[in-house]
Amino acid sequence: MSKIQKNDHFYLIDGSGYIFRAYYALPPLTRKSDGLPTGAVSGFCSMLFKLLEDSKSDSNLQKPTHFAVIFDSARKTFRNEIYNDYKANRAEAPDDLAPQFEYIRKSVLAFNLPSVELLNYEADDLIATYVNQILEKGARVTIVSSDKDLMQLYKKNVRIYDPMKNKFISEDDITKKFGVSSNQVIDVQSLAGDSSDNVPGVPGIGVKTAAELIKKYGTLEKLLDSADEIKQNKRRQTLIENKDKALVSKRLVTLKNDAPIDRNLDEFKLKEIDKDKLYKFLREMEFNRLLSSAISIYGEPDFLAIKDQNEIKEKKNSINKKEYYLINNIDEIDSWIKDAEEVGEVAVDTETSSLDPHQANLIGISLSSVLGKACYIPIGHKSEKCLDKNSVLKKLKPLLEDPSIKKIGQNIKFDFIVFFKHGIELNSIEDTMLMSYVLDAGRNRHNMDTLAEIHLDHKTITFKDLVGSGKKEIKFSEVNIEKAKDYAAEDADVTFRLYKKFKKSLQIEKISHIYEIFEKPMIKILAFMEIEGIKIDNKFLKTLSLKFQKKIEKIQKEVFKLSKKKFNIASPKQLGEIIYNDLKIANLKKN
Amino acid sequence: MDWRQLSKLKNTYSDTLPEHINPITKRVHTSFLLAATTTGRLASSDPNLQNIPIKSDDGKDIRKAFIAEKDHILISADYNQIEMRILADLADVKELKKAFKNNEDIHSLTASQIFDVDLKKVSEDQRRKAKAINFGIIYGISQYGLAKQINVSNFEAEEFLNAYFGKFPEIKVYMDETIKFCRKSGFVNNIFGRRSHFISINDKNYNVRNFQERAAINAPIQGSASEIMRLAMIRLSKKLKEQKIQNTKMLLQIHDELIFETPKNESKRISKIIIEEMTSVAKSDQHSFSIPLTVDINIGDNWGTLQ
Repeated sequence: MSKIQKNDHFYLIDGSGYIFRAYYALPPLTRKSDGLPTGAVSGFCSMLFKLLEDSKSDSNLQKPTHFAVIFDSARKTFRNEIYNDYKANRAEAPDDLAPQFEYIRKSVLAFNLPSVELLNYEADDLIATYVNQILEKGARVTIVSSDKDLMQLYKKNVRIYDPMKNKFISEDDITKKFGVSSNQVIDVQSLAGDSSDNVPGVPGIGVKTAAELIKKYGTLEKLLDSADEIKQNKRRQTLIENKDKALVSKRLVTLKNDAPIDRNLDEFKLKEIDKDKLYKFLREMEFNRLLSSAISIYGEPDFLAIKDQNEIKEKKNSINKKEYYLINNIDEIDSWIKDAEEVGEVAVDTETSSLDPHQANLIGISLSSVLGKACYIPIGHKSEKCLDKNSVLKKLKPLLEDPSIKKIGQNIKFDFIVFFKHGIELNSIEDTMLMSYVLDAGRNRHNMDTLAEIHLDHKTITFKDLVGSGKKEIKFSEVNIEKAKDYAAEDADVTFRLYKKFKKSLQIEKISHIYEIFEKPMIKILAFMEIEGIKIDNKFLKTLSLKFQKKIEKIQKEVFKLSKKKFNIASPKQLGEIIYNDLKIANLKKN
Repeated sequence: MDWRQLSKLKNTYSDTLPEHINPITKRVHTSFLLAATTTGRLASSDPNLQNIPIKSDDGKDIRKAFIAEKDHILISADYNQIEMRILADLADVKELKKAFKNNEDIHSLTASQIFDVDLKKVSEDQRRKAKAINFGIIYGISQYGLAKQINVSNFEAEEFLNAYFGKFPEIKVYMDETIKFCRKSGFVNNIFGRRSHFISINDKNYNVRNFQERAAINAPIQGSASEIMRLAMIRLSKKLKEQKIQNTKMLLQIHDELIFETPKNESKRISKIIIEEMTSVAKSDQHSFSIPLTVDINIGDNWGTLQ
């Protein structure tokens, strides 16, 4: 582990701020081959590319030794627990932006930079926490962000660069904006509130008045303690009445500098560009202009890098159980979640007690994010090795609901309903059955066993192999847990492999848009229709059955009268004999 | 045969539907199959709701068992003659397009064309025959099939078809081109670009080949109709979400028909939204139709009264 040194300089980039800027500042753009919206990804890449190169250029005297891009957590944060309406005024990300998050994260990795985020925390909190740690080690920081909320971090050895204005923030800028020096910014913000984040503040008090008050009393707490001294009647009254609001606001605007971060500072060490990785990404995204500027700086790609060879090897890897793991301890799930987050994709399969998703209980869940590697989490088996269902679901819920990580399934509508019944709403879903359907409707069936055989040349373990048949048939929950692991992990493994394969085929065949526009959105819509169901009039059906029965008997009587003997009308053979032999109606039309 | 149909209805619906009632929700949760056809059309199972006969009174009786909750009502929204409209658009049939734009009765128009009579003088019988031909074309019917359908000799049926193709030459071109394309590539495209494969289109056996050819002619028409329905469902679900309408639910899709359940006092407002969204699919980023799409709305306590 390399130690952080005094002359190290960390560049911490507020990635989330960049995303929205890239999205709103640039015209929408879509990938030609499949219509994927890519405007924000493209803008983000250009900005990151420029920033990285500018920071490394000789005209910059404080070059980075460490570099990291930091993102908001996709879901609600701890601030919503403090104040329900925090950022409640913000609309959800636009439809054509949401699918781009995943690629933005990937673009950071493509530049060989760490992409950092943490559940429940905003990028600002992570930055504050890292700044704290970096300063403790005696090193220096440059924060790159146009967000005024980060100004409270301004202090010795911390620079803030505003990429929008192309300049470094000075103490003067802060005084101009908040009327106080950087160490009092929080107190002013707590009083004045912030309409863009829905931070309430104290009604009727703006930044100007707030600054005046804070300058006089020093801190918010001191001001609130001495509120009765204020001369202006109205101001005194609102301050006393809204004391709680001010204090809550302070908790909202204060950045957390002790977030439970899981990345070490030395992981941010600036690495050289991996040309193959970067070019491959830019090529896949069809960013041709960026690709050529990257090549002009970093040089031509190395011919057939070792990595590609690895990939080729990987592809040839046949399916085997070697890397199928049974989860024995709930904490083992963490590394699988981390894999999924890093890759941005995870194949998910549920094992259940019933084929009816509306009545199915979860027996186990399998995951796979790396080709050939899969795990099985048993939660409903009749075995001691089973993990506690609720704790497992609680652990998986954030991953399964995270819109930036793709959940890949084979007929995932089934899993969607099962999870929904267990309090989890899958987000960002992909379905290999539907991909196959778009590619090969009319050519073959689209169930997993068929697909594995056609596309992976692999015979899967069948459900029957596992539970037996006839009298010896057992329930899935009674299946030996090791065997269940092999079966379920294989399903996730096969699904993940099929996904990779189909994704490429859809692009090559230029029919990705059918899958994206006409199949994917239908999954959730139909799932909810199925969950809703429809009411049936049971009594009416009973009388209807009686009515039908009477009608049937009546026809039967007439038929027997004609045939002069009784026979089974349902049997085409007997019916035929009667018609042709007994009644001699040779040319009778079939109905 | 009545007997066969009745016992099938009794076995698959009136006797068994109650078995599908979920003990907790007390409702029937059918399963929609996205990948069970070759055209993009949905199928459904447990129970299969897309197979209840439309025309017979007995089938209607089965539908009456599907009801709305108390103080609620069912809305059915049905695309009017969607497949004929698609054929007109897909094959660029000038006469049909004109008729749809002018909101004319398409079967009467067809009759007046092939029987060479004034539009106002078309008889019921002529209209019925024209209708059978129109539907026959969509499903790729042969002259023999048509002869049986409308109870005329094979010779007469052939004459009708010749007259039909004479008046709508674009349809003949469409059929020939589609088969030619399919023979070469093994698949056909619908309007939106979805492919349906027909692997036995070049089979040595005439019957197999013929069957595939008819299916290949039908697939782009049926498939495009299904795509339109999918787009409509996506639009509607988005709209309901945007307008925060939570007490109206989309329940069923049966080919060209959507069933909604909504509080009684909301039915007017909701119907308006449904019509608006379903007809607006005629113009989308994916395809702009040259003719309008129209939607018929029916409202009632049960599905049987909606037809």
